[in-house]
Amino acid sequence: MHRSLLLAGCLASGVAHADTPPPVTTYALVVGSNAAGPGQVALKYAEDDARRVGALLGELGGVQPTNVDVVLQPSPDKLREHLEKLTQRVAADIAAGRQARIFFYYSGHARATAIDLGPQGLPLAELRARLFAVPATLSVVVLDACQSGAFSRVKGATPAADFSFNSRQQLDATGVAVLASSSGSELSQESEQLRSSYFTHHLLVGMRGAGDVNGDGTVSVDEAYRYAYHQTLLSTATTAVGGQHVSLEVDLKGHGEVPLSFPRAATRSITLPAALEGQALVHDKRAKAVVAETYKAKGAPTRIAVAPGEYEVIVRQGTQLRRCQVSTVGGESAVDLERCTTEAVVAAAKKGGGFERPMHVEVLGTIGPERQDGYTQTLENFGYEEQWLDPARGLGIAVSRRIHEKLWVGGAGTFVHAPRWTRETEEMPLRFDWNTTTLLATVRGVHHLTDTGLWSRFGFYAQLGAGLAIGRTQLLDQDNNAFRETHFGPALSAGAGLHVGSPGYYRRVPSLFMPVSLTVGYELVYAPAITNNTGDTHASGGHRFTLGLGYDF
Amino acid sequence: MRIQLSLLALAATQIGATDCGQVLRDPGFDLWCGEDLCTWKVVRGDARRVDTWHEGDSGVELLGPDAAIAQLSPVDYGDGSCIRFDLIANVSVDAEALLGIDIYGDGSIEHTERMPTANWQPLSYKLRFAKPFTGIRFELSKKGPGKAVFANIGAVIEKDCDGLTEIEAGPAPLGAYCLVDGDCESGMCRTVTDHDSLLGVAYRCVACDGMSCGAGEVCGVAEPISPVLTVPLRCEPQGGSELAEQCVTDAECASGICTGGACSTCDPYDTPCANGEECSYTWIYGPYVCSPGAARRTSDQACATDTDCASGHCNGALRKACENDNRPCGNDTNCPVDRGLVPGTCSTVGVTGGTCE
Repeated sequence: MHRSLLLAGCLASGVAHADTPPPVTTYALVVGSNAAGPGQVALKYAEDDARRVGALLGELGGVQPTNVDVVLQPSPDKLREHLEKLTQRVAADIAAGRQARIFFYYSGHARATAIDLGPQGLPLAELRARLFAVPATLSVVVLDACQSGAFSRVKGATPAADFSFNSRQQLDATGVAVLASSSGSELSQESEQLRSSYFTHHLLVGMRGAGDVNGDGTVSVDEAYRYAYHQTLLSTATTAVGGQHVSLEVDLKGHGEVPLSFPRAATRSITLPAALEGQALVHDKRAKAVVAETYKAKGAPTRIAVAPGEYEVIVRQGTQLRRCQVSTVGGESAVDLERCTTEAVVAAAKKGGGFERPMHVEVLGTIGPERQDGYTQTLENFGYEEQWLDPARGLGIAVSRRIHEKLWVGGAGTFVHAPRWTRETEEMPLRFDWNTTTLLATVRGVHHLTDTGLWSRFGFYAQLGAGLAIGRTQLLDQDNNAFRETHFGPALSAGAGLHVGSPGYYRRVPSLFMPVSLTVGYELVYAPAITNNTGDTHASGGHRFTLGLGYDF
Repeated sequence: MRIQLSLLALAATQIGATDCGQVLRDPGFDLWCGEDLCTWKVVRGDARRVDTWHEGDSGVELLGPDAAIAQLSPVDYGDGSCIRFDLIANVSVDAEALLGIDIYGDGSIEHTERMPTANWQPLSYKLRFAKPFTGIRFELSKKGPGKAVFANIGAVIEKDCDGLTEIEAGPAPLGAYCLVDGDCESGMCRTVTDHDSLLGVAYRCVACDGMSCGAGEVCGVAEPISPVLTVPLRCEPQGGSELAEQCVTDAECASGICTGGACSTCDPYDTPCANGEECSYTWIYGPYVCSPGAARRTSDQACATDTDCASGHCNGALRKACENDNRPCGNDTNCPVDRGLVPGTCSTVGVTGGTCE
């Protein structure tokens, strides 16, 4: 029995195609279910993915739209009905002497032994048996579900460790190709940003042309797998769940290279020019959905098949972002780099950790009265007077790294010159100068009034620090002899204030000012380091007014 | 004869002998002449420089079982009769530290304050003095084997000492301020020349006046007693003072002329020079001579400096005198401290009873 399916490309799909398609009919059964099984959480985009897959198959997959059966949130019995219907249609073709191929797609929950269709599931063994019972000459099965790799493992095929395993020779099997979104033990993941599962998104992008490595206008199973494998792995490598490995098992001997889509046959496409390089994203403005996301290498154009509509192509290269408006309403369209706008990359949190501008450097000034304590009382007892209008003032620099949207950790070094104390003598007055350098490990929290808009630039910060204080003193006596001492001790600080400019958290703010921030605040410093011969210890610091100018990078 | 005991001064009018209320020099023990204090005198035992709160800020430690340092202040009752004495003390339990008050600086301690055991603690004492008084010697002493270190001493005039018992100094010595005869040991309180007073004269204790000396004597300037006291007046031999010595009357001088407080050879008004020469002083408070410094005096003529003589040599005893009142002195400590507590300077100014070579 020939099992079979699809995409041999013959389909009288209305696609203008230069190659002569083989005289076969392809039937697609596309199933999507957001429904959760026992102990599961409902999915958001499984059914949307199914709709997209169905649309793409009709658009570029060589499948007549009437032969695309999209089934959403079916019960097991309902799915059995559609599988039976598929079997009957293929059997009819075979009986009439025509060849038939099938494409089966499922997006939804699954376990190692069954796909979950709400409270009830359909055992994988049954699904496999029913699919293989279809008398098609070629079958392509695409499963976007957790542990979907178990489908083929049950079947007994050799799992693919990575793409290198899936050479063309491997694809020359006997009529079955199973493309699974994850290995037998992995979880498949959806993306809020893509509004799709990672796997289906990248599979569709590949089928639209990004996966057409050899540029022959068709995307083979091999090419689609290769593209989906790498892109899905890249996208999920930094998520909390971890890397997701697309798997492919084949038994396609005698079928050669099996085409999965025909982007060259599309009546509408967007061509990324040869000179363009960077991470490219094609955004359907009407549908507000990402239809393609790929890395465009320099040197050769890339053609991505799309439906007629208005699109925005966003290409990022380094810290530059190009926005290109493209319309495919009138036909094919190429990105005109001259008409693209350029802007700096907007810093924002990446999914799964990391920030566009994770580092923050700040230069700060501080001023305030020096703390009065036993040490200064001793100075007074010995006849010294604090110089009038000579507050403690200093400069510092802080470097921190963002570890959370609102949290920064790092270090700060501050040099503060304390007020001079003098005592008159009959010759030169005794002049006592002192300063304190603090080297602190700091943690700073920043809270902004809003996430967007003008008020997103304003917020509050609070900071704590702990570390080392180095106190230096110099006493110039009546003969101008200098007596210098250095002291060490702990240092603590706590501060809070107003933050303007939100470091690393700029949205819709003019790019020129994006990395710059200003802080105005209060700080209490306690650094008991400087001691004297009479047993007093001066806790350098006190109440300070601080002003900081920061930059994110 | 012209007696310069003033008839004008009716009351004491002296200017306070303090520096903005501070009555001691070098309160922080900052002035060291080698290993010795410059302005404090070691009276007994020994004293050394030690670190205080900081290596660069010195104090003084009294060494030995009985040691003392002292400073004579020119403070007098015109400055005020209430003084606050402050210091930082580091006194061990086996040491007895004392603050002694010696009015007039005559060596007799009229009042003593015992300091408690202290570890760099500030101590303060208020003292009220009976009027009139002239000069106080502050003495810091230590007895016993223990340690006594003092720093940042200050003695300032205070306004309010109400309720405190007055420290009585007893009868005043010659040259001290007085109000009535009964204040003085000599029983005589008279107006005398006083460079520190606004009117140039003040009431001081004297041993004589114009009516009290016998035949062959005159009430004149005697040897100084103390730098805080004016040069005393006693009955002195008539004509016994040589050229350049201090005087108050012509009769004291061998030349018979007392001009500007010094025995002279001329007086610009009463005994002018011949031949149109100018009668002028040779140094501040010094003798008046004709054409001083002009080298016009010939052999055996009276002279006050070498520059007076044509030969360039004025023979006689070298005169060392205080620059601020021409009193004879051996060193700076013999000279009065001025109102800003600036010490007087003793220097060789010329020749006493000199004649040109």
